[in-house]
Amino acid sequence: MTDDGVVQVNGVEKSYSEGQVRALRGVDLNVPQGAFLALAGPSGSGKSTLLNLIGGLDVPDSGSVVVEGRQLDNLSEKERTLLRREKIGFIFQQFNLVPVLTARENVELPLEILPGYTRHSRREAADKMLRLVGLEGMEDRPPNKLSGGQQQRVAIARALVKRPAIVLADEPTANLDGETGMAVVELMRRMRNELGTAFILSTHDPRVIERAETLVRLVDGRIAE
Amino acid sequence: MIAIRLAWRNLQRNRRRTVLTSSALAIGLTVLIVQLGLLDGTDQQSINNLVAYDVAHVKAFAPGYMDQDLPGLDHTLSGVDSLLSLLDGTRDVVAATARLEMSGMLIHGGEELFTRVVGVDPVRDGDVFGTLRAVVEGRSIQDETPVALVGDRLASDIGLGVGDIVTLLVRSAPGALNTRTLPVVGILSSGHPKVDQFAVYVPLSLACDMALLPDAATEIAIRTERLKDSELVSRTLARIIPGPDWRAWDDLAGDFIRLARMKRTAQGIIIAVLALLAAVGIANTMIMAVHERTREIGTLRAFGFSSSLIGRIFLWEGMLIGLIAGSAAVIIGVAVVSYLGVHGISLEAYGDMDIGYPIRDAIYPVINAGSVISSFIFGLVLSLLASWGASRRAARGQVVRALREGSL
Amino acid sequence: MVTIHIPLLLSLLLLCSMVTLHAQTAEEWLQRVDRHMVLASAEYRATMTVHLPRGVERLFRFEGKVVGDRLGMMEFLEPPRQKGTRYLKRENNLWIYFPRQDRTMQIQGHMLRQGVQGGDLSFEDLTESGAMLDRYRATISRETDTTVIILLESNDMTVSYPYRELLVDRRSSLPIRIVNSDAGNRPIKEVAMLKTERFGDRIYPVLTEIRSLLVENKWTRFEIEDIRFGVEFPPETFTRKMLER
Repeated sequence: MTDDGVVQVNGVEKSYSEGQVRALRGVDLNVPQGAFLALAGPSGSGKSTLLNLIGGLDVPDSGSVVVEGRQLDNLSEKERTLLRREKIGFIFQQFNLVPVLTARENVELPLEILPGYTRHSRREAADKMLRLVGLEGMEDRPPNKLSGGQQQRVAIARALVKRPAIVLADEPTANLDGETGMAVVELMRRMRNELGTAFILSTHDPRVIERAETLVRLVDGRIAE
Repeated sequence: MIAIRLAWRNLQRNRRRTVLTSSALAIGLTVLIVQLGLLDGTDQQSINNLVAYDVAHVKAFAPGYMDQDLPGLDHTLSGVDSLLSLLDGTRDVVAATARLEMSGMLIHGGEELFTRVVGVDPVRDGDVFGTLRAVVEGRSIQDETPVALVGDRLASDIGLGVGDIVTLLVRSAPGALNTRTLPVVGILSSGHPKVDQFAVYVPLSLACDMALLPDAATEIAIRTERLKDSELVSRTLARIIPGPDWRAWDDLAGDFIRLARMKRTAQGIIIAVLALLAAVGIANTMIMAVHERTREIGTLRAFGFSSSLIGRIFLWEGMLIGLIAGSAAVIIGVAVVSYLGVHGISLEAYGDMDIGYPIRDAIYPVINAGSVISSFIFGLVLSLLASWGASRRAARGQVVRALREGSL
Repeated sequence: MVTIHIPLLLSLLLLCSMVTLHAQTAEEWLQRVDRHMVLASAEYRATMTVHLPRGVERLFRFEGKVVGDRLGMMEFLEPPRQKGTRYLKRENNLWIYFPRQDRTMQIQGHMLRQGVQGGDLSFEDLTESGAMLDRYRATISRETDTTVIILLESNDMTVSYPYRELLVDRRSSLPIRIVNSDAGNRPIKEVAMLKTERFGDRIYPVLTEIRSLLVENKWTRFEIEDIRFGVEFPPETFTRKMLER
């Protein structure tokens, strides 16, 4: 096991419902910096669970998850929150934009809780990010005035605006039509190229899998080689 | 700041609900402000009337006088002239006067009414009481000529007018009945029912004659520099002029003060009920908000929003509801109180009924900054408490569940 | 001439009769009056009708026991609202018992002299019977064949009516009419004995009307239905225990 990866997962086990459902059964994974990795597998194979553990939203029953050199299961809830705040971006299947905020405000959101940003610099960073994802001129639109693809672009901008080390994307194309989905994947790849952020995508979309640089298949909570 | 901004935006998300919730609280707070205005006005009016026409600042009685259910002539002060000249030279005493008050019947033709016959010093009384200046028809008592002043309600009860001749029948101090027939020279209207409805004023010398008590009084009434000094002055006088039973105004107005306190307690209960209703409304709205936004809460938590920050967003939502409702209530409440303060709330419906307060005709609510501010703060605290539960719930939720299942 | 003699004769006759009448002093007349009127001890049942100026009339029926001006007990029989209410007088104390609330109230001082039920009779009037001779100085003001007018003036101002004028019937020695006046000798009430009855050697008014001279059309009528004089009461009759029984 190398320790130069941005994420290292070592022998992680995770069960739900008091051990009745074993979501992960000894998973090892090393994600290098700037990776574009797809976690593939049928639903219930443990993709989301693994993403949650990497994102510090949950802790493993056994094994360890190390993100940016910090072992998550040794961290308190508060410390994991801080780690997420600074290092991890999230993209969700249903975009999860805040409906009462404009596109720009949604993108600004992660910066609101980071030190060192002024109102002005937040706005600048958000607008720049929105330009990068191709949404120039739509900064002031609320989510319901944007298409699904546009919303996911906002979500990508939001995940990237704080320049995290990793972006975790849970089924990012599941709610998009084929073409839009591909465009979104392409955008993510481009962003990885431009910013050097590692992307870990969970998906069961064959076209996304096709475009991934690294593919990890999960079956019944285990990595299938 | 982000918590406030998000809270504010969230309130706009479901405007109808926000308006309904705020309205419920605003109505409650408006009622509170108007009620407090009413109570404050009633208190102020009552105290003004009590002091001007009834209890003065400080009074002296013969020992035992105040212990009677219906004070009569069994305990009176004697040597009144020397007592008054002693008081005239006393610091803190601005003015002093003697009164002799007794029960009696006012008779006019076929009408006979139970009344309090009050002997007043034509020269001194006006320096302590407003009674002799409250004449609205005819003239006041100017000297010792045997004439009577009658309250307007008493006058209208038995159809009396200026110039009419009435007979007063009293029981003198030794026990013999005594009557006097004399003209009514003036009609009084003070706003204090005790004066306007139940009393007949005559010169003190006449009252003494009728009571068969020369140079006596049932009370010496005193005006001090300031009403709030009356307690202190009363104690000082008790020390330097021992003998009489010295009482400050608030002691004499005990019934009123007890009543006012009781009304405030009763009002407190009404407010508690209103508050509970408004709080249930807010709590309900907030819990619904938390439920609806579970996924959003999960998203924010994923971004690194701390649980306390999430909680604060919901607390602020509640607070903002309180702020909106409070501001509306202050504007409406102050407007209503101001309007009523000018036009008054008529007590006509009560007629001659004793409402327990020394006021009649109308109540004029007043705006008391303290009452308005405390109502506003009360609204804020209430909404804060009401959104507390929802806030805790939002803060404590599991992020993973929130994101996956949309429930906390 | 004849015309001259007749008035002279009449005058002489009148003079003679007056001389005979003057044989009695005012005090003696008052003594006679008191002999009829003062109840050393008696038990009675009576109705009192209070007529108020606006035509309102209230009827009360009660029975009472009295021993001079020291002790008295009375109980209302009517109206139903008042039924069972009792008054006890002992010396200068008066208690009222209200059966509905099972509560006793003590009346003191000047309150003793308030009119009962808005009428002209005070608690004192109803519960005591004292000799006038003890409290008044009497003088004869005028006499006729059939009547004597006696003026009473109180020795002190503790009585309700310091001045009284009694029109006494010579034959019965009973007052027909009494005018009660205040401390300044101003008439307040007129008491008329409308009907009397003989009880042994005592003649007692059984129907009395007390009319206000100050308030137009206000009077109280007191009618005795039944009375027994000289009753021996058991010692506990005039006690709080009997009041609240």
